[in-house]
Amino acid sequence: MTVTTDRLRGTTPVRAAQAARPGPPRRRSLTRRRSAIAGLVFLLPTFVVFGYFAWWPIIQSAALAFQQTDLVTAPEWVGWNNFEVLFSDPLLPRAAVNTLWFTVLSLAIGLPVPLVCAVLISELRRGGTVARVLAYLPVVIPPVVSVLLWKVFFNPGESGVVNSLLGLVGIDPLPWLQSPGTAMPSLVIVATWSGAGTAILIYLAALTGVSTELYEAAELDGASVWQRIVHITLPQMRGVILVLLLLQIIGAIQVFTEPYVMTDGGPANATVTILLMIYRYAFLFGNYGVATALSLLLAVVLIIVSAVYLRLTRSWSTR
Amino acid sequence: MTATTDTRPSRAAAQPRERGILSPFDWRRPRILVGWRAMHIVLLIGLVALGAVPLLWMLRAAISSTTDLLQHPLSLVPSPAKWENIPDAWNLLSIGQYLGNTVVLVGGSWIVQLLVSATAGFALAVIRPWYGRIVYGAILLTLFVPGTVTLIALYLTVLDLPLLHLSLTDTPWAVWLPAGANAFTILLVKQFFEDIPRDLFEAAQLDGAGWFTIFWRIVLPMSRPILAVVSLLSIMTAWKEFLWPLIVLTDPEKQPLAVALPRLAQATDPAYLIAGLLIASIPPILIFLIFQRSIVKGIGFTGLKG
Amino acid sequence: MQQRTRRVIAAAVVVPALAVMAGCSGGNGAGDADSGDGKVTITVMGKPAATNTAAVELFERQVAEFEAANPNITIEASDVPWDAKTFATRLAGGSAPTLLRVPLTEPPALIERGQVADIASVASKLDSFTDLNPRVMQFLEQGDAVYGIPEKSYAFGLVYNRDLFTQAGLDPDSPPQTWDEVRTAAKKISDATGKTGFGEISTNNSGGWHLTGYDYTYGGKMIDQAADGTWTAAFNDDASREVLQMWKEMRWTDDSLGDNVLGKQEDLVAEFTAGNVGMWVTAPPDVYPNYIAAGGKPEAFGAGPMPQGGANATLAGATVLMVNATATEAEKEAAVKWIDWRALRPNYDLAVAAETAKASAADGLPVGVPVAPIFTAEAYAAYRDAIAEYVNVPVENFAPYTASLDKLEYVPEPAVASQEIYAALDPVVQSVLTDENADIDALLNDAEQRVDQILAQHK
Repeated sequence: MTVTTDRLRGTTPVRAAQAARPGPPRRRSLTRRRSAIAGLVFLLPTFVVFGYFAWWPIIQSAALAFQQTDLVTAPEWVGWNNFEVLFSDPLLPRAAVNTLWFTVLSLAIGLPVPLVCAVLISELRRGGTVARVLAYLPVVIPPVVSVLLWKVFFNPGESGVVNSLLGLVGIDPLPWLQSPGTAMPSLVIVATWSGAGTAILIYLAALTGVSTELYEAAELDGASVWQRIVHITLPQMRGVILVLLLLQIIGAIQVFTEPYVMTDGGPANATVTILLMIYRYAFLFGNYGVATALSLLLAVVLIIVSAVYLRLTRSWSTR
Repeated sequence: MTATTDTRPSRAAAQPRERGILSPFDWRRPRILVGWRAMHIVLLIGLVALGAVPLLWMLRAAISSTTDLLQHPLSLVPSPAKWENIPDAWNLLSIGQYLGNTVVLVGGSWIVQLLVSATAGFALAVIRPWYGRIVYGAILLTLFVPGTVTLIALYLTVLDLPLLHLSLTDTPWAVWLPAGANAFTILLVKQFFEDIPRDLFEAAQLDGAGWFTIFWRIVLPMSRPILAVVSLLSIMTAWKEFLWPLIVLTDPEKQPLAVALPRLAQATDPAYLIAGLLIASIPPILIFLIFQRSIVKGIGFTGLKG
Repeated sequence: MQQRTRRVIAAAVVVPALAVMAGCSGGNGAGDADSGDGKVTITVMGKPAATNTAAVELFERQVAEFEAANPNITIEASDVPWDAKTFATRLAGGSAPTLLRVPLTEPPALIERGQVADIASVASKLDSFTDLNPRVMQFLEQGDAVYGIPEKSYAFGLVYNRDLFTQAGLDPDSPPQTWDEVRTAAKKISDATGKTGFGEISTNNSGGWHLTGYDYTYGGKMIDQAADGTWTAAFNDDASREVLQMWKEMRWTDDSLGDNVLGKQEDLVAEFTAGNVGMWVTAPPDVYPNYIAAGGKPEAFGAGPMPQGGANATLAGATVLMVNATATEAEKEAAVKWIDWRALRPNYDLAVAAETAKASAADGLPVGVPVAPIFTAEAYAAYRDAIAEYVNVPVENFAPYTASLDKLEYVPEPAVASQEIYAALDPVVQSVLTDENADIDALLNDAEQRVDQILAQHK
């Protein structure tokens, strides 16, 4: 207890000095100051870490976007030049379309499939644990491993795993990663495979939170299973579904690992995404200013998307 | 609330459910029974096919020869079984070194996140200084700025730390320190600490305890559940990190598995590469299978909170 | 403020700061140490890949011998090769070694950015320095400054599988000389054997690299420099169109390019070694060692001249050794000594050449692969005489290629922004090879715009 007694001893001269002042305000300001200092001590790691690696970079980004930085010469202010270079890059609209396409495709699978799976799993009378484990296994595998594994699966020709499977049911081999048309869907398959498990588990947690009395009441009213799902389950889960959907959209817009490792933006730029462009501008061309400008644009887009989304879904959310 | 309560049990989760959407009565009706049974069978086949089979294939491919892979792509049994692929890959591809790097990076990130979230949560929820709201707001603000947006600026910061003029690149600090800037874990811990009744603290203070003692002797022992959740989250996230280590660890000797494998993939025999992939997957899979109950619970918990 | 708390705060600030500083690298030292007692450690690129155990052993023996002859120098070798995508970051991030081993496309940019050191003072002391082939040195010298030394040089040629030729009814001793002949041969091979008739690569800048090389054989060029020094794209012409059209037809009409056209050099080497590819364009002497190390049959390897489209020209490049700009004087000297030991002496010091050849042959490594010389032709002839008894390469199989080396004009890769130009052209090649309805004119127009943008940043 020496720590505390030292503290008390240390405060004695202060206390004595303030003894002349009357009652509560003195004690309040003392506690206030003490807690402020103690707070500082405890928040020190946070301040260091956030200061250097969260807050400063945010401020720096705002500045970088208007500077020309290449690490070889000194940075210089160039105003809107970075944005001009960005908008005159023919690859930008392509990347935007690709990213949008990826987002749409991954939501088309990534929303209904985990939901359906979760509903089915929640009604399993036995084997629920096994199902959960199997569903989550792909998530546990590091993304790089899944991507490289699927790259092997997608080998073109008849000897590729996926093509062989298709061959079993009489479908001709598809070019998968080799053709601009099928490359993006291939990436979506991989991304969904490795991400669906988390959504399934979250939905499952939400499903168990739905009060069973509601179902009983509905049954008494003669509701069919389908009606129960549509009128009770889904509305009760609305909050979780909506939040997860937003997170999936935001995540999809920022996809990087799959396009980078599987196709490196190819073939013929069919899988170049915004993040890949940011990466290339910074670490391939050494043009950090334009890269940051694109990051800022991305941030604006994400904010707009979130705002629009929250506005649209405000009336539907139960929260 | 006692210190040993489960964190936020959802209403019906503690007891086994007698019914879900379907009641026992439903299950007795033949149409429902057959229909749902069929869907469940399809589901389980699908889960096995998509969850387990790819991993089994990876196991098989890791111990096959490349020609065998080309000739019998769908088989789950290698012929012949080249078990020596695995130690060969370990040696030739220096998997051991990369695995070691990964462990170091994950371990450090875990400690940093625990340290930051525990101290910040304590400061904001228990000490509650007058500027606490402002700090909390500033922390939450970072949640709205996705990491990828400040990526470049963060890289330049790491390359040349302001005031100290040090470069953290190619050191593990470049991964450890930014890992601590995670507002979500601070949020989780803060909310947990806020649930601890303040009488405990007031009583301790009357006894003469200082803030540090309260932290160390009262709060921390109670916070195992939330620290476990934070640990799981930080370890799993750190293990899978790709883009950030790719950028800041350009020295191949320091790279974790996630960054080294794509580079190795370019020059390596597919069978060796898959052996490497297998080795990289075993630790997370093992941890998952051992801790799967807590992990599954933790995912649900954080999912509902977040 | 209370005394105790002040101390705690002070400790809380100082201790982590100390820890951070202790754990950090203190800036960009290229990982080297230069202690005051004259001992120097340098990090070098160029160690063979771990999977090529024989070559690695030879390399390590050379390192040991070098260190014995130079007791003050320690060599730490890295087997991570130059890569178009990651090298720039490594250099900027400070983790690149002292001795850089890069293709000839890199020096212009590296010199311009001040990332490589001037080694004129040290290099001029080397015996063989003045004999170095000016074709390569022109890229490495600027005025009086010397920025690098060539390790080996290459010229494009046709690599083909003699067995598949025989199977398809073609004569393995007379490989196709023109693109039309290549096309016919490719179709014959793919029809007769079901394997890829002509292999092509188009990722990691190799698509642009090949397009450039093929373009040269039609007399085209990639970039042009105006009188005032500005560069513009010069490839949007018939030469490129012919190349792309030929690819299109081979891919979609003949189907002789196989299924996987999106690989890079290493992928095609593996496929070729496995016997799945009839012919492809690359530098035969560069590829032969990898082919042998991966288990390829020497008798099946054939090297022919670069197929021509009327211009009698071929793309020629090199691998050069340069020194990181962050190196100290002592490190520079050590690095140049190593360059001399490893790369130059075996080519001009005939005794050493014979020794190295003997050791390599004993290890099962290929000896006597015909190359484009980095020194004069006479020096090269003397070299070949010295190693004659150890040659284990079927030199006859290389005859058509070697004969062409004298007849073709060597055209260097684009003088500025080569890799960026290749990167910009990769999508063009990928498009033609993966999309049946690719519009060649539109692709070339877009690429021209892109390359002009890139060149505009080079003054």
